Amino acid sequence: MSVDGALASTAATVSRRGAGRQGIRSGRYSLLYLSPALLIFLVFTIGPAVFVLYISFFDWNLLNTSLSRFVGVDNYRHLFSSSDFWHSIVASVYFVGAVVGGSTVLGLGIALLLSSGGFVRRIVRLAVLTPYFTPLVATSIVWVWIFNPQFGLLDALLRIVHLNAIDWLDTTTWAMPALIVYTLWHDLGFTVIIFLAGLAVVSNELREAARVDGARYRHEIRDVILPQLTQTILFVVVITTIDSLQAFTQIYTMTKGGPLGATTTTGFLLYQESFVFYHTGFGAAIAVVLFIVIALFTLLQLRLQRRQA
Amino acid sequence: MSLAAVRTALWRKRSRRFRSGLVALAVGILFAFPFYWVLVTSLSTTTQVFQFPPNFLPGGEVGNYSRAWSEATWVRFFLNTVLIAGATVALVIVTSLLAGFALGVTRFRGRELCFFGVLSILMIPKVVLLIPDYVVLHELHWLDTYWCQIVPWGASVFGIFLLRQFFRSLPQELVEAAELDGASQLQFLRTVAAPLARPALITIGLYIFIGSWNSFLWPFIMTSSPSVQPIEVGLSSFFGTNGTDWTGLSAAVVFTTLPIMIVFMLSQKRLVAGAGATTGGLKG
Amino acid sequence: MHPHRPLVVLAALATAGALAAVAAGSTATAHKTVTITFMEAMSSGKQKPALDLLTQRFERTHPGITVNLIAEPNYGVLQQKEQAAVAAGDPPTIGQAYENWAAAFADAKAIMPLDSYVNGTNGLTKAQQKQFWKGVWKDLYLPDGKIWMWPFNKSDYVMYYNADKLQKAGLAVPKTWVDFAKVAKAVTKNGDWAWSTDTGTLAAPADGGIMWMAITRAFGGTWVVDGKPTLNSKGGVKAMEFLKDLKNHGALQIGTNYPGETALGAGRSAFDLSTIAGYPYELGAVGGKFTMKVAELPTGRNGEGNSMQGTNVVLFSHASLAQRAAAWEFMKFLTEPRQTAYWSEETGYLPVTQAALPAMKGFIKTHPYAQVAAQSLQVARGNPPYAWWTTAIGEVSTALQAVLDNGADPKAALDEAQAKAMAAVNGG
Repeated sequence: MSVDGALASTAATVSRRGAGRQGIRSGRYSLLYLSPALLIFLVFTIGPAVFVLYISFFDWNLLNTSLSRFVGVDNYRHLFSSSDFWHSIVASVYFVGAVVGGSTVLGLGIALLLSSGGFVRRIVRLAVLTPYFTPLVATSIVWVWIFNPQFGLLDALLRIVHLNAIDWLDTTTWAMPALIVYTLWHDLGFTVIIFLAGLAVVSNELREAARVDGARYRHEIRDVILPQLTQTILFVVVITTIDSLQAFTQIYTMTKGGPLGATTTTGFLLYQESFVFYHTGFGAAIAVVLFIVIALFTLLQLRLQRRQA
Repeated sequence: MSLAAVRTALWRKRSRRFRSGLVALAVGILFAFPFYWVLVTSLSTTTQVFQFPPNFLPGGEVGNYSRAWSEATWVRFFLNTVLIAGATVALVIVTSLLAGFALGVTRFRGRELCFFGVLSILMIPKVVLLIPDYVVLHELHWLDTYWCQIVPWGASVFGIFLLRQFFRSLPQELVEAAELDGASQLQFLRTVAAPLARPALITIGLYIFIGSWNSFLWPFIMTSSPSVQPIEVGLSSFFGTNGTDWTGLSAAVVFTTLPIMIVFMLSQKRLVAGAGATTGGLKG
Repeated sequence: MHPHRPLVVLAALATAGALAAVAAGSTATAHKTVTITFMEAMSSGKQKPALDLLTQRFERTHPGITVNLIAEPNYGVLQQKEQAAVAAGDPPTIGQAYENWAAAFADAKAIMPLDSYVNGTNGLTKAQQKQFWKGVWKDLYLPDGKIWMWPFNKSDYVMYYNADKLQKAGLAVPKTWVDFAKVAKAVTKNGDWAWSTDTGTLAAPADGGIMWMAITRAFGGTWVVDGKPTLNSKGGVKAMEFLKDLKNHGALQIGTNYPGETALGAGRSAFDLSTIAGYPYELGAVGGKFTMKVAELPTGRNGEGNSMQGTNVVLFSHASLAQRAAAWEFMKFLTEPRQTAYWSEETGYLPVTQAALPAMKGFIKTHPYAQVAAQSLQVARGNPPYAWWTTAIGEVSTALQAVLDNGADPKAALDEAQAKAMAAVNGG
């Protein structure tokens, strides 16, 4: 299927009905244009999501729906009184906060380092961006090996500089940082691309002017570059927040939510309750609450964005 | 400014560039080292892998590659992955262009509400949709086909969001000029707006392609036949129920990542330029 | 340049690929009377080719039946896919299942009892039934006293050890857990240790939890009494204290992703307590650096407490009568002495029936450990067949983490696990 072709054939149908005379900004066919996307969302996301909302009021038996029992808000009551749930919220905030903060700060820093051309920087760019192209499931298991306390690369390096080896994935203190390090390693490439792109359009004149004024690099970043990048930064924050709230594969392969629930984010708890323990209705309630939390959070970010703009 | 001052400034600039170059190099090594490690592992015997202290130089164990290669129908898996990811990208671009145009260019009642509705879809936790989606795909008779790996992912909030932002920033003169030419809405979208949005489309393409490339649970749950399954299925045969074949896995990671790395190397400039125009659009 | 060139190229690629796929997919329709599907997780190493071959063999000798294998990468995905398929009303004909999955399926009437097939005219004679290992046979029942499962890939735990290391230190191979602790502490020196294991997590129990089960039984403790969990039985607490003591002496280390295999293979630890099905991986890790030997799991006051691993096969109730009959034919085939012997020799799983041993004589001569492990199937016990056991063993993993990683009190940790398991029993 060719994009041109698909657009052209839709165009033909529409123009036959005389859309051409309506003016480009006419809203007459807007819903028609929205419909392909909306149809897909309706069938595969919104519909199933409404179903999830429905079963969150049941003790739902996935395997035999006739055995399901309406329980009202019991699942929600149970959820809010469950320490596992609150624990998972803490883990989520930790994970999301670190990944979003790390992606933004490191992404911007690396992009600044790499924004000028040159052979070395081109090669480094490639090195930074490549992890993003590797399948999560394969490289996260490779990192399990890197984090291995006895034979892993990381502890070997620690021993070379005479530090104590750390049991990365098996201590409540280090499991989450290890997970975050892997996630940043894998995903930073994307934010670096976005920031490199943002830097490319930062006004060079202003930068030059700042330099002529003898501004230190630090000040150049603070006074010239950052203000022009606010939109890019907010974009990166929103997209990494949403991605990291949904992170699953690396948790599944690296820590399976352990040790002692240290890496059981709300997203992982959802998986655990729904699929491991067959608590389908309870899992659905977690999903609903998680949705509300993400929605509030995003609204807050958009509000901030609007104020900045 | 005096010559001396210019010289000092120039020198300062150069030394700063040199220093930041060193830091950049360090960052590059940090990111590349895990890959180097995979390469070393892929060329080692199992005994060398389990050696202590670890061995930092690659061995000559090419046998891992032939073993890993014969483990699965890689070419088929690879083509499937490219087909699925490619078709998903194509579909996402069509749906996002149309929806982005509707939300960014046209004016209609409830437009903002509609936009926030679309945004909120992004916030639905995907894990819980797995089984309801399975049921839907079962009813559509799409299980175990390419369709079930393409169509459900064929609309992207991210894509719609970016294009809507981009289209909103299109200058009014452009719209008016097109109207004077008597262009229909879709002619405008096809010949004016979409070509201008090409950089944004490249970013969307990258994001969707990688998302598709990374899907793990979905293809396993929705498909059963190797003839339609992606590369993850091949990779998973190295970490089975009773142990992990580290050397084989590493070899497979090397030869599955390599083609994509090469493509990226060749298109690096365009990708960054693409993202550039995208965020430029974000300013609108 | 044309504005859409990359897109057009992509789209063209997609179309070409789709056409190729259609062409390749349309050749596999032959005319057979019954088709059954088998959802399984035997997708890695030698398991896949071995199961493929058995299936071909079956189809050759049963021309009216076609068996489609649906391979999943691991048990986690398998479990989800079986759930999804049952929920969609289109389950496979048969599937691999652990005892606790089978219990949940049976509660939902998604699978059917096999008694009428097992004892029917096309079933097994009483003599044949007696040949199955006692532990394996017991494992086929749910608490209602009916046969709901049929054995397939069974294994149990053995003790792999570095024979050179023990010999050099002048230590005998431990026969009891008390001896094991002594030897373990004796070999823990110069940065080496005795044994590495994985505690597992709430969502994904691992070898550590299963070893706790085995030691608990050996110490006279129980897992379940009268359909209720007994995680904090005296033996259970003793087993936990035993593990904690080893950990405190540095003899036991905790890791992830089959750490025992890695540590033994590297020559750092003297033992690995793991399933016999992991033998090829252990051997690969050792790589001929030293002599690795296999012994029975140590015993306690109550003898050997071995824990059986691997899955059974269940028959989903959605299948047609003809499919059910064909599926039983296939299940029965897999446990025939010749087939289970082949399966065992290829994969390292154990033959489910003693009747297979004569056929394996040559193999056992070169692989004496297989006999060791198979004999243990007489006493080994599978996971308790209750849906809530998933929660119980998950909570045991949590308790292990609390005790071994964070130094919690064994009794307190198990009390908590017991309370949570009881909540799961009552909450359904």
